[in-house]
Amino acid sequence: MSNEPEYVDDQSIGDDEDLWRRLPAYWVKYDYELQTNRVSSQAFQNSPDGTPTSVSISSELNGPEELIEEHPGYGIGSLTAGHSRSCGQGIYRNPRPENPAHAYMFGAKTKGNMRCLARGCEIIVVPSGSP
Amino acid sequence: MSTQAVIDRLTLSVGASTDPEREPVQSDVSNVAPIQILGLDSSTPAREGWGQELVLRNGSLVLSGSGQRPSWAQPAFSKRQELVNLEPGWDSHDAVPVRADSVLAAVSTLFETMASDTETPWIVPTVHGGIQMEWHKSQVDLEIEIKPDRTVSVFYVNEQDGRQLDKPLDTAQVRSLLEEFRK
Repeated sequence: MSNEPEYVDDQSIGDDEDLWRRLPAYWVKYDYELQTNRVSSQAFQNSPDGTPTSVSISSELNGPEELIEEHPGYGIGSLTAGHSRSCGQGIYRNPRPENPAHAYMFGAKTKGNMRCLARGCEIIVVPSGSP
Repeated sequence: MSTQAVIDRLTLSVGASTDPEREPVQSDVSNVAPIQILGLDSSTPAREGWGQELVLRNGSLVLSGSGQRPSWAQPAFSKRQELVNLEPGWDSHDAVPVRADSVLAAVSTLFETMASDTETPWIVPTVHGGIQMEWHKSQVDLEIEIKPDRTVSVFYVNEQDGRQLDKPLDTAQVRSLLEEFRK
């Protein structure tokens, strides 16, 4: 019997729910042509052990500071659950003691899907040191 | 289209780690055969020219060449110097450090595909220990990913003409795509 969890998209997380992704400076760069911050597609890869991409359900946090207070210098990218689903992903609640709003963004992390996610991601906290 | 720079020598020197708490990375470095990557004869003496050095955790990577140093070489190396010393968990989750041989493969790829006046890529680490090099302009995205096993893949999207590629590296094809990113 497999011990792998079966990830199922949680429809109780509405399409307009904002999902927040904590970002190091390496994955964010200001684009002078677009005049906005750009996120690398690599920001949405699964973990090395295959665990899906970690995000937080914004409405279940007390503001963006809660996501980065233990991680100074990091930024936050925001994208809606609906956009994530349009990029071939599902959202699965995975509350943790240190982050009750934690969830997994699961699904095939193809180059196209990761680019799709990055293009729908808005930087709401710019990480320090990003170019 | 070939770069004007010629690499004479790529040498790797590995020393003992001075930090007993740091996990040895010599295996990352000692299994790499940089001379074979670039097809160089390690006995060829370096001609007068330019050099770059990357300080690794357990040694250094020295690149020397003749001809005109590409304008992108210095900024690209500076970024690699930063990335090669990332600690585990640098993404605040479970990211692994960038592997030295990913850096070597990236250096080789750049010299094989870029012209001297190609825009410097945006160089980002991947959580798996690889490197991704990106170029972006309005409606055009080009990404070259070096995986920890040193395989190289190319992803290209042009929303203007609908072209899209997602395939292993084809050096000649990437040279052609990079023409769009020359200064």
